[in-house]
Amino acid sequence: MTLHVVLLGLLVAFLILAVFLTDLLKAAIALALGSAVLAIIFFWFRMPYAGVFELSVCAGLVMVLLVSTIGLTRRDEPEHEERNKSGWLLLPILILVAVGIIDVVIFAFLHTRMPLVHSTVTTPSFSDTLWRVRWLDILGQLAIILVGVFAVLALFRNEGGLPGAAGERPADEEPHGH
Amino acid sequence: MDTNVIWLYDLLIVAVIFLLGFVCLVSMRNVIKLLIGIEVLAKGVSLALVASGYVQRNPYLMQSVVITLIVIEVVVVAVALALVINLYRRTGSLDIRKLTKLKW
Amino acid sequence: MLLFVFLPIAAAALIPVFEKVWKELVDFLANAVALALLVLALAFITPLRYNGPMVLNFSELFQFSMTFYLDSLSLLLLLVINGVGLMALVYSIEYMKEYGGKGRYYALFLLMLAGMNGVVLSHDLFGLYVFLEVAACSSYALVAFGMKHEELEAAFKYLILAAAASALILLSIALIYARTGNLDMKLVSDGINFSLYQGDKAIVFMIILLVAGFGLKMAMVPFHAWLPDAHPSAPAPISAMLSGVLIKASGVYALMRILYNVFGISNLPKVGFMLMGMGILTIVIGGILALVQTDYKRLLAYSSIGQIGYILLGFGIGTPLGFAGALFHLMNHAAFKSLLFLNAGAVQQATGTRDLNRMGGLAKRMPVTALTSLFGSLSISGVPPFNGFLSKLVILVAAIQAGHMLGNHIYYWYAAVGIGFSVVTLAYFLKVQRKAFFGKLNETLAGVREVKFAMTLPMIILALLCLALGIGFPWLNQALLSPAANTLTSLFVR
Repeated sequence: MTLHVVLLGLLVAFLILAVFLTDLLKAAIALALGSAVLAIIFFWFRMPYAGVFELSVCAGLVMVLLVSTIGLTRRDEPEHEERNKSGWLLLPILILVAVGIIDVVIFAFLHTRMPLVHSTVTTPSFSDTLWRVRWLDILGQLAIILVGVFAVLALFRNEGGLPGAAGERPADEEPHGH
Repeated sequence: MDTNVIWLYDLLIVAVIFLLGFVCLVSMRNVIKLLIGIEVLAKGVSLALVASGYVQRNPYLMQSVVITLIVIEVVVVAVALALVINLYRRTGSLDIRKLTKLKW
Repeated sequence: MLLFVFLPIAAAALIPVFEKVWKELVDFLANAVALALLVLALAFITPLRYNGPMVLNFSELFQFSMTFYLDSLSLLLLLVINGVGLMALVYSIEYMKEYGGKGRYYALFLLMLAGMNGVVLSHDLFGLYVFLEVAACSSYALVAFGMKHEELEAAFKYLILAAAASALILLSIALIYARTGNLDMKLVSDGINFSLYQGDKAIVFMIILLVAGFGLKMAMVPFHAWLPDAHPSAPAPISAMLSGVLIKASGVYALMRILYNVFGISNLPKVGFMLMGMGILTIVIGGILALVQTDYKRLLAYSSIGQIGYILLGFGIGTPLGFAGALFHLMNHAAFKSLLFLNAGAVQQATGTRDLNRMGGLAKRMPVTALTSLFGSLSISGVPPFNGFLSKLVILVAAIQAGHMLGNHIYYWYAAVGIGFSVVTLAYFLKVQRKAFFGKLNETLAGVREVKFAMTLPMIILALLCLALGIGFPWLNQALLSPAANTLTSLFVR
């Protein structure tokens, strides 16, 4: 129980780092560590497959993020970013949303019979049979993997889009005069 | 009742994570940071799903759901990165302030 | 029934193979698949009327496996999706020539169709989400297909906003699962109604999350920011698909299906009020913003936002007549908005610009485009005997009728706003027609010619369809709309 709370706290800590660090490399590393903590949380919830998946995939994902960031910004100084001060106006709205969630929690907590309708009659005993129950999801996964493949192929093709999209950079900042 | 307490804590954390994610999306300028914001939201959602599966005492269903979700998220990030890389080739920067050609 | 999803996926996967064999074959393959899907959808009309809703369920599989569920509402959407998809694909044969990479375009397009078909058929909350993402991801890539700066930027903004919306939807699904212990829509609706009976307050929060998430995907007004950027920048057939179909299949259908069939908000009038209010807001803001546009496609995009408001209004009213009107308007909007976007694409290809101020007098040079555009504009403005008139009329009548029954005056105001903005729609479309097609021929455009047959054919078919839907309304109502409307009035029975 206390382990769980500690894990949750670690997760939040890493995600805070990931959001608020200005150096992109460090932020990505924080995200990777947060994913690792999330995977451990999955294990704690007795969902080992999800944990393994999360660990491997998100580690790989963040590695790709890092590599692309490094590859893109081959400059002398590391890639930074600045804050956008005007965006803080939305913060109250977001706080409201968070309060809403906490409100839900309180109501749910008061309803002592939390799971009102248990998932009906028979739950499959093995997670293997689960793949037969969620088989449409698998079809969907196949579809989305194909989407990803074709999207990347499409966006990196050499026949290159409309005329004028041949990857040139603007030589300088154009005056917004005309 | 122990499960309910865990559910309470988890929902609180999910709320915090969502808050973080939206704050990131709203206030950060670098496009890579925006992708990190999307990732943070996805983590929050995974946690919410897993916790709800735990409360219902059926870890298998949510496990497959979360696995599917991770696959989807990978593809979304992949497409986003493809867009970002191409954007970088066009404009030479990752600052979202540069992306203001499309106005009102 | 599985074919709706499986066939496009298989075709998409095979496209690279075909492309190597013979380049032109992919055009044929993609269009053949779309045609096959449309025929399949049409084939289901009569069996559905006799047998009632059909469920795809393999008996040897586990009893509670995920299923596909085909009722009249799903069938209506299927017809719309595959019909407009076919039109856009035929149009793409010619239009996409200058973009290159046609094989991948077709693959993504087919996957988008597969995703939307899956959304419409899905009987499981998470399954709906999965197919929604399939369609959405392919649309992100398709919007950016031309790879110019503008398109990439629009696609990126769209992606970020839609991904955030997906997170909201998923959070709601997690809460629903925690509450009811199921993901299958029928079982969830049992659980939800049980909760409502107990006076559960958390349901409201789940509904709000769903409305916010799906609202963003359908460009409801507080969340419409991505649409005016994404639609103009995308290639014309993709704009037609996005505006005419994707918004509706993924946004409106999903939200309505969940709210009405799962949550049963016929019993929760407050939610209906909220929907109506947002619908009115959307109509107003969409209409006002459309008036000031000078970019042809951007104007069409804002007009889409406004029309979605009408559909929301119809759904919010909550009576079967309101549903019928909203569904009819959904179908019509798919028809005429895609027609208008295809027109805009033709104009853009012929003249090289989207700026209305630089166009003029194209009617002489591009007669087919001009005529079909006229049909489309009259339809969307609600001029009889075209279809837009009837669908708006039904929605407004439903509003007035509901106001009369409930004795609530605000319905009358809503109807008045609806009529008023219909006039506004007419105004800005007349502006488009006048600037682009009539008037003097702009000297710089002296050299334009009509676009090729592969592009004019879908436009002609859609224009005729607008007229036919308008005239054929009684038959349509009996065969398609009323059954579909009636499915929304009650919870799932199976």
